[in-house]
Amino acid sequence: MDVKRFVLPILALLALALPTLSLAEDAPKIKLGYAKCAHCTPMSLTPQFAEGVTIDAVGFNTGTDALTALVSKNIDVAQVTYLHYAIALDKGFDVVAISGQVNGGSAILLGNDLEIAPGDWGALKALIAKYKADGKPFRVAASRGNAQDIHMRGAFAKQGIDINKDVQFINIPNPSDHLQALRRGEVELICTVEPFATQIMQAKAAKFFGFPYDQAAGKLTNLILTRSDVIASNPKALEGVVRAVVKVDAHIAADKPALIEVISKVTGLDKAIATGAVENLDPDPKMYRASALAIATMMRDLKYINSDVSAAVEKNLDYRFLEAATGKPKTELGY
Amino acid sequence: MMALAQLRKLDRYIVPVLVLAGWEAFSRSGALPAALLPAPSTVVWAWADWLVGTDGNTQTYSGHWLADMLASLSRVAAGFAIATLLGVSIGVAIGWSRKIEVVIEPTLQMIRPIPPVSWIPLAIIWFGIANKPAIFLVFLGAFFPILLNTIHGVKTCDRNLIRAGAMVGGSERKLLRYIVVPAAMPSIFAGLRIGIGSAWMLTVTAEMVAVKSGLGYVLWDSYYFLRYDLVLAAMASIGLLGFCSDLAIRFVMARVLHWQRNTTLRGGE
Repeated sequence: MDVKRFVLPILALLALALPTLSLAEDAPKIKLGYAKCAHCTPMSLTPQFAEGVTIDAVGFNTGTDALTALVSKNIDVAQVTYLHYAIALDKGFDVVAISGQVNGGSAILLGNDLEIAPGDWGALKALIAKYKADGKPFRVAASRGNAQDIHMRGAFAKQGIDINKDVQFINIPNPSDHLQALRRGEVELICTVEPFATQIMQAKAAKFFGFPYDQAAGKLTNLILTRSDVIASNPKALEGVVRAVVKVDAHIAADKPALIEVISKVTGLDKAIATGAVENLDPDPKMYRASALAIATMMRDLKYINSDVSAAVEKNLDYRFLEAATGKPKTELGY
Repeated sequence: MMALAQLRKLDRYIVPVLVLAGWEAFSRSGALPAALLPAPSTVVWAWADWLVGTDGNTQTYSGHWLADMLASLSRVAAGFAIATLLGVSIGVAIGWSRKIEVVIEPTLQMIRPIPPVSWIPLAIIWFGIANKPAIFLVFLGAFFPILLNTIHGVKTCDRNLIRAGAMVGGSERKLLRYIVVPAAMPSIFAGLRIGIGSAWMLTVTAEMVAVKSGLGYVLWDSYYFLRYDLVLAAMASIGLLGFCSDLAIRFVMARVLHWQRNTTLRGGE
């Protein structure tokens, strides 16, 4: 057998591949986890926008799964929510926020049979009072601990509605179950997340009431977290990740069809739903310190967390990477 | 000799004690953040608060264990009871009648490999939210082990016994009642024991579906808030209740199958 016939081509291939391999070795690698919601799907674009860093973007079912992977050191960067950030700090986990991503995405929907005009909080309050007087529970649903839960609770409190006394809160953990709950008349009101909100409205299972953004937490939703050991060992790579996030945000802000495309691709949803959902999404890489503190306070008040994490929330917002990526001082980045 | 016998009784505790001690030591070693892998003592502390409300560390769940346990138990009991009723009756029918087997079994065998969790969307469409879809999912988990074991039990019934019954004039109904079903009982009980385990396993999945109480619900909700101590306490609670349910079935089995005592390997135990 002529060994040279096999060995020489293999050696030639290796010689060709080696420079490529060594280049790939040069670029630091970051494992990035993101959840598969409408807000979060643009994170899947970060690898193609990354420069000087190789991003391995991994999709998780929920932000909690991504956070668990981060704190157990299975990934380096995770896209979660501000609520996850406060929860992680409350548990004493080493997490550092390095960028925002997309905000918004919450919508309050009403059962079709309720005669209330969109945004008419006065009528909604009167209806809730009537239910109470009649001894009927006014059932309000959300996925407990989601950004939409906090947004809704904040908006209700601002309007003088006590969610513990005036209404009956129903936790529907999976937002994909919200549609059926409304369709079957099992709840009167839901605060849900995109793209489910659009899906519910397009299916005519409920009607739009309003956005729950008029409260201390504003419309804050997503946040990019890492750990201090990753910052210490790989600061350049993290800077590359934040640059990629900023670029992706600019891309989807300027090109809505691109966002629709990515939502549709990652979630498998109909494009009509994705088109409706993007109207309620706000690509924004800034980190909002004051609203983040408000969320932490609300979570303590709601007993979602045990301790006061305000100081840690403020301390662990690291603006360095965002400053480097945007060329702006932190005072212009939400600090 | 007495001391040796007592030592043998302690054998069963050696592995659990070693596992718990190793876990406690590892958790306290600082190799992982304590909140990520809570030590058994931390889990017990959270469990105690969940059980009787010691210091309120489990927040809204403080002192609610009994209510959560009863909520899960009622769902498991309902789902398991329906699964037993349908699994045994359909299983006997399939095992006994070739015609019924041909008509029903292919469909059931096609449905069987579908993971119960994938039924969630349909369960919600059919039954809405709250208890009914959860009971349906528990039923699905328990039904197939009971069904298959019943079919096996009926099909492996000794033909000579049936012949003998027929020879003394037994009708088909009587043959089923007095020969086939009793002969299939060991298999049926094996199915019930596997089924109750599956039912408890499915509780966690079932309680993802818009229920407001239960051990599975607490497990999911606690995971969302990274309360791993409570997650582990919920897991331990489910394991404990599964163990107790199995003991209850074994207790009934020992009475129903008293004729097996001393006739089978370890039948006298």
